[in-house]
Amino acid sequence: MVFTWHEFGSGDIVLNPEADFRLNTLSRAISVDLKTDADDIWWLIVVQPAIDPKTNENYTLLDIWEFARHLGLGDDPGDFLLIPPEYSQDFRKVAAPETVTFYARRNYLNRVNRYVLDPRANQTGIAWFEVGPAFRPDDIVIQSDPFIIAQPTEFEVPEGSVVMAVIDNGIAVGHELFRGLDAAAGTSRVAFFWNMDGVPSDDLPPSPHVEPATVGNVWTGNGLTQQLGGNMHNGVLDDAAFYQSIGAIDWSKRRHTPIAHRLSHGTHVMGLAAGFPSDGTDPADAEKRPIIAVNLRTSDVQDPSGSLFATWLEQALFFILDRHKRISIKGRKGVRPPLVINFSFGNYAGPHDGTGAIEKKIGGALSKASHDKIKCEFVLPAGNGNESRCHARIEIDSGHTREKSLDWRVQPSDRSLSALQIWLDEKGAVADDYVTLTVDGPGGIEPVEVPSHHPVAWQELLNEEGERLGLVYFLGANVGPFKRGHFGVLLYATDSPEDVGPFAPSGLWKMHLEAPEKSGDVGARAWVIRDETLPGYPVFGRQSYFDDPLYAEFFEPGLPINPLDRPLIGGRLGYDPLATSALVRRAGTLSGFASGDRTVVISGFVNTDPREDCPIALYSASGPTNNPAKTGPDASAQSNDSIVMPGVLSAGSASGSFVAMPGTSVSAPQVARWIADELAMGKAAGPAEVRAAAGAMDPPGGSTKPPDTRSGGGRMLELPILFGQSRWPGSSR
Amino acid sequence: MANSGGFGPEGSLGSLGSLGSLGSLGSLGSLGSLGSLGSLGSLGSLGSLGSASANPPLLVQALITNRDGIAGSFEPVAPGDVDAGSQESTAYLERLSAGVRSSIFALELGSRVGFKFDGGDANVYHLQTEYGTSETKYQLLMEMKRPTQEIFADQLTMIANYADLRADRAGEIISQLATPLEFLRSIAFVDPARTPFTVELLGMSLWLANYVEMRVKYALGCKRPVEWSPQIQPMIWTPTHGSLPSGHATEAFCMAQVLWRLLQDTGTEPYSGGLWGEMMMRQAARIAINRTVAGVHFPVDSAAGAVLGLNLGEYFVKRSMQIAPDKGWKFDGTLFKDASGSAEGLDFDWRQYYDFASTPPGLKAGVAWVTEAGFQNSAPDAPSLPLGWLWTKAKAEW
Repeated sequence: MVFTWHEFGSGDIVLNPEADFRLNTLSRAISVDLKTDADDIWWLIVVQPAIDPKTNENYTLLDIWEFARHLGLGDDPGDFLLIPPEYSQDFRKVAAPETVTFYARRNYLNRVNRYVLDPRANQTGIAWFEVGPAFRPDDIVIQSDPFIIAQPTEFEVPEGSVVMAVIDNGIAVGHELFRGLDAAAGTSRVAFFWNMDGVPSDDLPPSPHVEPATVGNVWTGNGLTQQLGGNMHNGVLDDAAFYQSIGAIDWSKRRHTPIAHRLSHGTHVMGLAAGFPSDGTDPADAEKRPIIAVNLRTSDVQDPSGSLFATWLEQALFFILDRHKRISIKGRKGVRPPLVINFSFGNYAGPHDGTGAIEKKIGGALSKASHDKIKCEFVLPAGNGNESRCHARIEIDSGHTREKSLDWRVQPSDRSLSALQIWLDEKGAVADDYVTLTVDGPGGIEPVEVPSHHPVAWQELLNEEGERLGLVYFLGANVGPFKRGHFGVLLYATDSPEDVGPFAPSGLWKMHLEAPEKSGDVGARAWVIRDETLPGYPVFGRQSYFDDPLYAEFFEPGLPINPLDRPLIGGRLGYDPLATSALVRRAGTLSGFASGDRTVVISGFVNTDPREDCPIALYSASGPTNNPAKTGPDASAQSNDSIVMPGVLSAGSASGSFVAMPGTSVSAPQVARWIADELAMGKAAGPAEVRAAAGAMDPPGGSTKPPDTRSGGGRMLELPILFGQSRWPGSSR
Repeated sequence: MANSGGFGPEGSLGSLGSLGSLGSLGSLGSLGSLGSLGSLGSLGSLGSLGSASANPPLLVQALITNRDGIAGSFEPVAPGDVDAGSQESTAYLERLSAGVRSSIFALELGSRVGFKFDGGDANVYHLQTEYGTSETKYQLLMEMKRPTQEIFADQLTMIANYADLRADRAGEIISQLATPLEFLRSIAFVDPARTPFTVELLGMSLWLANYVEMRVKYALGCKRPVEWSPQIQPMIWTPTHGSLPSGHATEAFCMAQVLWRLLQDTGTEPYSGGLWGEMMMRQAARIAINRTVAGVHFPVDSAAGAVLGLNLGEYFVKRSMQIAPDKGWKFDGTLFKDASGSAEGLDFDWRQYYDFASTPPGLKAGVAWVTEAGFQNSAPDAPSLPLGWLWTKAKAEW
């Protein structure tokens, strides 16, 4: 196989090379998977609208729709563009917020991608967009008019209530932990449930039990309660029958159904955030925690890169804030309870400076809530990539060699995109020759150079037939939402059981970053995009990683290690060794979603006896970031019950069951629950308050207190163990 | 029936291993069911009665020389010195080994079950008879018609998708290669030391289920999923016998119904409460569904098996309670379709044809493919005293 590089000229540049790769190269595999011609596929996109010079505000959705008429794609934008019917007519008419969602076909997206960086930019109304999940036309409700909800359900909750919203995947909403207690034992505490995996069916009941959705279905608490009642037999819920009745299990339509497994991520997380067991709970407490749950599509979550599921965040938050408006304090019409949102997901990619699309969206939602005088907090995990070898720190200093090399090992038998990003420290536009990335592929592929050319430069890897297998690009600062420029390398799958070839070559890809003397000190941070197969999910990809011979994964005698690491020969290290020369670092592995100013970010620790020793879990990702206002997690909570018992207990999928799951996904919701308790008492509970509370539970001065980059203000050692105290027999913890 | 090397289809073959010592009984396959209990050590002792290990050469030699040493001259015995034992007396059953009894119960059950394949219908009959009279009649106990090829084809996608649960359920699936008893005993306190007659009763119900289901499978000749698609790739051996009805579903539902009805008949609290039956039926359903997860059965196989098993279970209960059987059922696989005429989305759902509220709880005609069959009840029907004895003994254990 002979591979060649092809450089794009200035006339071919696009706004978003990654989007181009997804739409025009990855679509080869996606099309086979969906059994749909690539031109017929609908894509979920998140859009940053351009500013209308006439109003100096963002264009409206209807403006963007009108622009679409004049792109030479046909008179009816409905053939290639869909405004989500979730957006009301009023919403469509006013200046759009910073991030909005559309569904679109690729003829439109390719057109927009090519127009935005040239004089035709003002013909689309779009400043930036990212491409997410793909759909067959039958998978979404395509209608131009907004949804009308016949009987919008409204809820009244007691004084002191706080709404817990959970965005996750695999949420078994029927679990008894999410029902009322005592007199309300058959009542779902889930007020609204958007199940994006929900199978559409004409048999579903109408409003007020079910509400319309473009993807999946939306159940109200009334509907869930009714279905719970219909599937209780001899006093216990028939789980399978209940989930079939709400379209959440259908083996004829779904290849993977997390809630049919013993352990499901979303059920576990929601149990920790808002689950109340029937024994030992005051029923009134349970009543004060209504839940809004959003179940992300499983097919999007099994791609851990985040490029699919994270695109949903705008729609998920829109849903949560919209439904939250229908929940008010009893006797105080229009007064809405505080809201805590838990999103136990992370990724590796992104600028890590707070300017990522996800971070901006979360920030926007929090601002909107604040504007509407709603107390709202958003909780994220720090991520589990501390030991992933997916992050590297590159520094080119004056007086030293002006080139740094990094080996990237791309795995064979990898069915998914492999990708990396190298983000410059330098803010703003840089000179074309500020820094150059040379990519040297395996198997005799000629090295190729991409300069830091503004706004974009790229080289594509082609096979003999001219089919594209890879892309190396530079995207300049201030193109789209980013303050910094970055290089990206994207490679097609290296294998598949389907006929989706040709494949990219696996092996060692060498990255050389070179900067001339005149550039001075050049710093950059590199991240490999996450593409492993998640536990319990179908085969997806194999994680590529940086292969650095200087990286010390294990302790060996003589290695100067962080005092918080244990000097056990062959033992794993949770911190970078002191004075390491490796480029690959644990420091800086924090989730790419978690660098925004206003979110609460939580890492995980391992419980021990004595508790003061509790170490941060090896996997728990680490700061710093490139955002001085968010340098790492705000605090940590327990994510492993002990060194030999991974995870903490919470709800299993089947009602009444409890299972253990580790990861910062489970520490975050424990703090979300604490935040809800604080808000219920009228206290503030944002990042600063969480830091302060953690500091009080884990006072400074102790020799075992983890550094700020791993645990923020400290370990929240006094949070209660919610379920299964028997994992520490004889202990009151 | 074994596929190879001790892999037993439908669990019954497991028995051949453990109770092989009983020799001829092993061939009946009935006590295979009890094989799973071998691990409990309960029936292991039975092995000693028939096996070489029970008569070790040293002991045999010792008994020979011992007799020589102590017996002395043989004293004649007069006929009147010994009472003649009772004939056809259930009191005698108690003195027999369980293995011997199982042969007796097998004849009681098997001799009254008939079969005929008639124009696509696999018909199972109960023979109504008062022995010694000319009034005998085969009554239709179960009529089963296999689904169309379209229905099987429709269901393949569901099997492929159920493979999602294979890793999650592997432990259960492998354990359920043995009999359902291991899983039912975790619900009700069945233990060979504590409830030996209940174990025996359940073993005989399993024998009946296996005896009938294999004949029906043979008659209907339904192909397994692995014969339809090279991509199903089951995680365990596919048994050589036909796919519909599912033997696991038949046996599990049959035993669940028998155990549940036994507990109800005792009236003992709390065992007769509805939750006990709920758990037993759920257990049977889970065992059946796990076979689809494993890739060896269509959902419609489980539906057919559940109907056959529940039917045979209730039939077994009536025979054991010495009540004349009075009901038959039909399973028409060709009607296993939804309103659109497709079976693609039609999963196995036992609640559609099980009624907890009826007296006794059991099968109901809730869907088109499950209906009652004509059962004339026109001839006298002799009860089985040995089966009645076993029921009474089992009941007394609760």
